[in-house]
Amino acid sequence: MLAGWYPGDATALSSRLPKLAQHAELLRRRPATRKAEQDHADS
Amino acid sequence: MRTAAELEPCAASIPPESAGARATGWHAGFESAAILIHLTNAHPTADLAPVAGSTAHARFLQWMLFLSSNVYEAALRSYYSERYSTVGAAAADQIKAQAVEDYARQLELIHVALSPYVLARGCPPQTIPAHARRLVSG
Repeated sequence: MLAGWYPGDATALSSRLPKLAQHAELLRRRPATRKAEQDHADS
Repeated sequence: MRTAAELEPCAASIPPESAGARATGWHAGFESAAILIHLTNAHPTADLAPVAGSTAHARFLQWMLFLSSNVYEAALRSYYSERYSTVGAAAADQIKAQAVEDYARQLELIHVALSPYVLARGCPPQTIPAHARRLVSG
């Protein structure tokens, strides 16, 4: 959510804020996140 | 008088028939941060947030409100720029440019605090929506 809505250049943002990119990846890997995103896509 | 949904169509809410609403008795809530904080309090054994009253909980509240009042505000301003001026679309491009800049600056503030989460115990506020969504939709 944090950076996911950022309307600018996501690649440039990841380079500028590498810890944020790492954080997003950690969250993306969590089973609860995957389930919630799947539920959201299905609804 | 307009309803909350009319004022803010994108606002999160607790569906009245959801497990979250049944468990907490709060059926007509809105404001994402309030909903999520309420759910963490209503389910203290679910380990959704630090123990209330602790320093970690204070930090949790800090980031929850920061997300709600700053990051989310900048996101809304960038997506609905025409709403932020009496001249509507005529000023939208400038408003959006400022909003994107503000958004990045706020992410920078969070970036400084990440290690790799904003809460040392590994329960960042950003993970709560995933858990809470399960409570809300289940």
